[in-house]
This record gives sequence, structure tokens and C-alpha cells, in this order.
Amino acid sequence: MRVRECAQETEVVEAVLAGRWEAGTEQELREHAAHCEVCGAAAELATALSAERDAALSEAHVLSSGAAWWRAQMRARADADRQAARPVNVALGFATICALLVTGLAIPFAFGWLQSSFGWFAGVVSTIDLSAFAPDPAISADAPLVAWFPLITAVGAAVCLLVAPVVVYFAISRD
Amino acid sequence: MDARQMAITEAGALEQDATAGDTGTFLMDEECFRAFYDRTARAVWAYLSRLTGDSSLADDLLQEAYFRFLSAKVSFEGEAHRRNYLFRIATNLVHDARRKRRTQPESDSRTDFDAIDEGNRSGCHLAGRRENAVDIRAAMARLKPRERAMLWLAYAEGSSHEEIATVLGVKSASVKVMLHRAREKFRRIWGR
Repeated sequence: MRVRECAQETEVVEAVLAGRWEAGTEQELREHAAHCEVCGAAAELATALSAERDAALSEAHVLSSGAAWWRAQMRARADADRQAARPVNVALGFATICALLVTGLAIPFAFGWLQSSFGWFAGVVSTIDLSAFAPDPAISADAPLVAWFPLITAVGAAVCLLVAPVVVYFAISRD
Repeated sequence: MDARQMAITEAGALEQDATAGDTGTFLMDEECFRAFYDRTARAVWAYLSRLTGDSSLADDLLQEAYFRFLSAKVSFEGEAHRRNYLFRIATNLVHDARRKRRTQPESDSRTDFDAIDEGNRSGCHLAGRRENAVDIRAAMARLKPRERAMLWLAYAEGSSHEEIATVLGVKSASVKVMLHRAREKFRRIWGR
């Protein structure tokens, strides 16, 4: 395809965009454009589109440069944190899967040992005098808390043992 | 273009800052970035808004463009290189946004260009204008995105063919022909 071009087209467009065309200072160039189809079309287009650009510039309400910089910094840091945590999460997941696999594989082999261990534990429990945790009926009904104190203490200790790891996790967690 | 009016000493100082050692998260330091942003942000927004026809989309894409620009580990050869790179990122983001929109046909996010284009197709807007020239935005709406970008860069930003080729990711030799076609199509639609 043969495209008609003119060596002065670029000059015409530059003059329009610099505001020299409307000011009428580029007399020679304007005279040339009046007789050159390529430059005439370029001047027309550049005039129309630069006016549209000016309209768009006046509509633009962009963030301040400081805010743009700050936002970019925050986003970059968040992305870096996510990337840094990724290998740790992968390792954690892998370790969990391994632990579950090992446990699942070990249970059949350790079944006999577990049976004997549970038996030992049952024996230990049977030696504990559970009546020590029951409320003392001799204690006055006016002090129910005192009567139930041993049981409350035992339950409280058990709850602390169960909840403590969860509390520690949330305390040290970044989120 | 503002870049062409910049003093050589100032451009040289910016170049040194841009290629200096790592300033933490980004290659470019804050002072350099803020100066560059102040010079270019509104022009990039204008480009994005006229390409997409959607001001709020242009706001989002502008933020994304500057973030990607800052994140790029590129050594710039000068202000013009920096600016072209930024416009290239902006162009790619517009392309991605269009592709995303095409895969979500039930989306509520219509652009001004969609409305103008529908009006033109239905003839409602043109009914009273058949004797008159179609206005610039309506004419731009009827161009392909690449044609729109090409005309904007050439006649609103004053970019050279090489710069247009860099921004749009096409061969420099193809720009002349593509620009000519876009120009003739626009003038036909515009009625001039």
C-alpha cells in the first residue's frame, strides 16, 4: 500500500501541539499545509485531538504524587510479605501431611503397644480417689464455691492446658 | 511533549537517580518518582480514559500502571524511554481490561464508548446528525482500540513512529501504514 507522506508533517503536528499553530506564528508552515493534503489533514487531526487531550487533562483528578508513592510502597511490602510466607506455609503443609501419614502408618504397628498403654492409664485413673473432687457435703450450703473448689480447679487446669497453645498461636501470629 | 522541553541537565540527573543503587523496594527513589509522576500522571490518565471511555476504570488502571512501572527492574536510558515504557504498560493494561470485559458479557460496567457505540449502531444519536459531522468521541468509539491508541499517540501526544511502535509493541516500519489507515478511517467517520 502506497502511503502519501510529507517531510513537514511532523513539524506541523509539533506546531499544533505547542500552540504555535493557533497563534498564527508559523506562517510558512500554514501556507504549506493549505496546499498539502497530508499536512492539511495532519493539522486538522492534531488540532481536534489536542483539544480533546486538553479536555481530558482538565477532567483528570489523579492522586498526589506522595499518595501514589505511599500506596505503591504499601502494596510492594504486602506482596513481599506474602512471598516470604509462601515457603513457610508450604513447609508447614508438607510437615502436616508427613505427620498424618506417619501417624496413619504407625497405628497398625503400634496397636498392641497402644492397647497396653491404655490399660496402664486406666489402671492409673482407677487409683485416683475421685471423691476428693466431689463437693464436701459437710461444708455449709452457704459456701457452694468452696464445696466445688477441687472440681473447679481440676476443670480449670484442664481447660488451660487445652487453650494455652491456641492463645500462644494467636499472640505470636502477625494477623 | 513536556519531555522534549526538559533541560538536558535535569534529564541527566533523573537518569543518574533512576540507575542508582537499590533504594529499598524500588529502583527509583521517591523524589525522582514524584517528579516523574507529576509530569506524566494526567497525560497517562487522559490516554487511559480516552482509550477505555471509562473514567473510573482509568483511575484504577493509572494506579496499576505506576505500580508496575515502579516494580519493573529496568534501567531507563532517559526521560523519553521512561515515558514510553509507562505508556506501554498503560496500553497493555487497557488490552487486559478489554479481554476481561469480553469474558464477562453480563458485567454491569459499561463504558461511555459502549453507550456511544450502541447509540451509533441504533442510529438514535445519528438521527439528528446525519447532515453534521460526528463528534470526536463518537468517532473515536467506532475505531478499534489499536487505531484509537495510534491516533492519540501521534496527534494528541506528538509521539514519533518509533515511539508509537515501542508503546504498541508493533514493528516501526508498520506504523506508517497502520497510522495512515487509522487516520483515513477516522476522517471518514468524523466526516471531514
